[in-house]
Amino acid sequence: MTATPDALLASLARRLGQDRVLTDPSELVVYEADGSTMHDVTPRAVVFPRGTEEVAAVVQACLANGVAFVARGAGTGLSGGAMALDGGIVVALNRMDRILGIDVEDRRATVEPGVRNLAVSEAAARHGLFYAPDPSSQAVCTLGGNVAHNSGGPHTLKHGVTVNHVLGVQLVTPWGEVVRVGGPDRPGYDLLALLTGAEGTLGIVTEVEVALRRIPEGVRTLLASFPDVDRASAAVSAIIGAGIVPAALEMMDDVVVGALEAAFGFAFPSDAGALLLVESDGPEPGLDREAADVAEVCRAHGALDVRSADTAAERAEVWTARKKAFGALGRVARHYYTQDGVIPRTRLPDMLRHVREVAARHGLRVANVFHAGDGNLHPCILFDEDDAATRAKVLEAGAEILRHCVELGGSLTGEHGVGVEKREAMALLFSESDLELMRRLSDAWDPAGLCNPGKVLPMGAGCVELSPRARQAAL
Amino acid sequence: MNRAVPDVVLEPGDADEAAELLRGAASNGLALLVRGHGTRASQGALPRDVDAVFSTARLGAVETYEPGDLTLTVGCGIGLAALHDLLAERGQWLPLQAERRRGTLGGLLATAADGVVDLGYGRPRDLVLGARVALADGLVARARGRVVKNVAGYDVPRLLVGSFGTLGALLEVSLRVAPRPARRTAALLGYASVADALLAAERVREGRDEPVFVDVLAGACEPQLALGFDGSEERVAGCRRRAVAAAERVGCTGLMLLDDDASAELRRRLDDPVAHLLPEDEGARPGVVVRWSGRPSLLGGWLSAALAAAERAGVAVRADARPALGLGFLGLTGDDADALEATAREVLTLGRRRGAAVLLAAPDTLRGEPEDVWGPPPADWSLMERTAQALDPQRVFSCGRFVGGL
Repeated sequence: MTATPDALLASLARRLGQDRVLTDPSELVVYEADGSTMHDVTPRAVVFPRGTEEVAAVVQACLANGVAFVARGAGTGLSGGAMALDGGIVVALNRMDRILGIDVEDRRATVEPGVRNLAVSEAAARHGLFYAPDPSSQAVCTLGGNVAHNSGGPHTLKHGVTVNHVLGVQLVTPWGEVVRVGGPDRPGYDLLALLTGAEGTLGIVTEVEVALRRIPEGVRTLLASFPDVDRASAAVSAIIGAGIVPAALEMMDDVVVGALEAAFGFAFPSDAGALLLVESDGPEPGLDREAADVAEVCRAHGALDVRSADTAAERAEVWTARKKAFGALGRVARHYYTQDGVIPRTRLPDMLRHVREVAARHGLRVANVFHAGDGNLHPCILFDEDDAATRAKVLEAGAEILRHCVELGGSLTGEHGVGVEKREAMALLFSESDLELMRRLSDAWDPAGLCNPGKVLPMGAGCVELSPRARQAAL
Repeated sequence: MNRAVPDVVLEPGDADEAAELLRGAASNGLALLVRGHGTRASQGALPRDVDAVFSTARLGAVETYEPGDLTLTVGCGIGLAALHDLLAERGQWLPLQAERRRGTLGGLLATAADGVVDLGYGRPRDLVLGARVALADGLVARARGRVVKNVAGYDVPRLLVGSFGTLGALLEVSLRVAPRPARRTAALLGYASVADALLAAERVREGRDEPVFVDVLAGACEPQLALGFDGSEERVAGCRRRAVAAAERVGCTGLMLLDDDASAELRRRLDDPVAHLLPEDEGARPGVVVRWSGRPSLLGGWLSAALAAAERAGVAVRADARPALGLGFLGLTGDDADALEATAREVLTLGRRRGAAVLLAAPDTLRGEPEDVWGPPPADWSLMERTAQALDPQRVFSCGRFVGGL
């Protein structure tokens, strides 16, 4: 006999304290959606556990009452992965934000899931160490969320994504048990790889051990402007073809260039149709030569201008342009919807042409800011009128872009995750057999079906009602 | 007890055939053992009786190779020699055991084999982008894909890497490959003691010269530190000079700088720990190779205790330790089987106190029980069992070789 949901809330309040259980609709609004989804849904309640034992208690209470639960960090996810479907409870981990230890000798940090990504590197910096994955939201997003989404960032081209840096986690399983899941080097299956990027559907991570790296000795940052994205794309292929593996290779198109000029007063050559940011890092020996080679390749592919950011301040300015590009788009449109598709890098020109055609056909504008080095696109569809007809067009344009990514041999998502947003699109990329294999894992790990349900795998017809909305652009 | 490899071999030529053969095997209740060239067949615990071998021998076709994308999709039955030759034609490489080149790609991945330049380029799990796998009931499925960045769906490919063929058979994988570096050099430094060599390794690690390997070698000769550097002429020259200078300050007794050819020879020797520590040219003496993994700061303690144990027992020993990776390999050889076995057990016990220690190679008498080979089941054992139950509920592929008897 299961108790009523109200009994669940009462028991959670008894266990955690009334101030750690939010049920007031006005307070729940914040937890309806995450960073940029076109959808929202109000959770039944939001709870704020203080540690692993409390998370396990919440999970056990939810199981006893047949209520779904979903972990949430800073809410910066971009695919609706932290939305509480099925009248579920949000388990907010952002107050579990202690750095539990930094082991300088063994180069690792142990943190609670609510620790901000950047806070790890800040704490490690005085030891000459840093945490490599650097999503653009790194000042806000949490390590727990990074593990759930296998987050990347501009520097993953050389340094790898989250899964390459997680050494161990403490997990509250979907059946409420606490298990320490060991690193890839303990004998046995690589369960860390399975958990990293599982979007919180296989349990809730309550402690993370990550590898720290030595801060590179030198950095060279170049900003090259090109007449158009085709020539910039050709330069990207040529850099990789020359055997150079930069730490970051980021591209921005003409719409972004205009927005950056408007928002920050950056001055680029007037005929710049694309910007390429190339950063090399590593030991000083040979680093100048690598940067010179990159500049040479850019010029040979029609660069209008190649600037070198020589001081820390200049580098910061260049990266401000990249990391605030989305924010700057607020100057040119009231709303935007960001996609996250991946293609084989050599198909960039084809893909960017397709993006422009799709936008033109729907009468929409689109801006491109993306990780060119690993073929991870972030087309940003801009729109002013927040009405149902426009939203439908925007979603359709986004879907067409994704379909083309799949047609070119790519993927639906490089770093934002499947979440709610792309779960039905999974059928574009994967066959029924492929999905069946994933379902077997999901069914075995979450037999009750209450651990962040409705994410990653397609539901087919009759799924949860979502109310579409558009995200107000920043600024 | 009959643990001979059976005569029945299922040898599919493509995914459809694999599915059909597996469905047939399942309906007859056959227990299977996945096998490539059999190079690593003696790893793991002794398999239980199996009814047939599932061979990847005919699954070696190159599906797509896009040098411009630095990606390759290929059948797992491809031999590593053929794979490395294919990539070399385009000036590229897959850094995993690129020097040793023995066995199949599938075998390398399924055993998560260690290679000499893993420090510089990543372990097998780090270079796998996607896979097509066959489960015991004939379900053939792809997971992830062939692009270098991808978070669509569960990471089944990495789950299969290092699973010793116990969850399903890897049919095809997509890999991230790399441009072959212009220069690949090395340096060898001699030391009066293992402690000095470890200290020198630590000095190198404190620097920022990004060596692709840092190995402390002990046993057969005076303790040595082996360092590798890849990249442009300027990069390798400058980094090697600085790293060697740092290592020399720890009372080095000798220094040898190796050019690319001599470096390749050294790398070939270090690439496969079993071949390195149980050299075939010294005859087929019974031998044991133990692999220790754990926190880098605990490596030295285990290594010195293990070397001392071997010395006490009069068992010949040689070691290759990779402090930056928290890895140590110890090879024991001797004609006195009892002394060898007792020493191996002592070295394993020492290693398991603070870290993980497994047998990479051992006489059958030491491989009878999974716990002897792998140690006691780890803390997350129940999750592993659950995962095996999900993908292979009849335990068709669980022949008892792996952790906990999977």
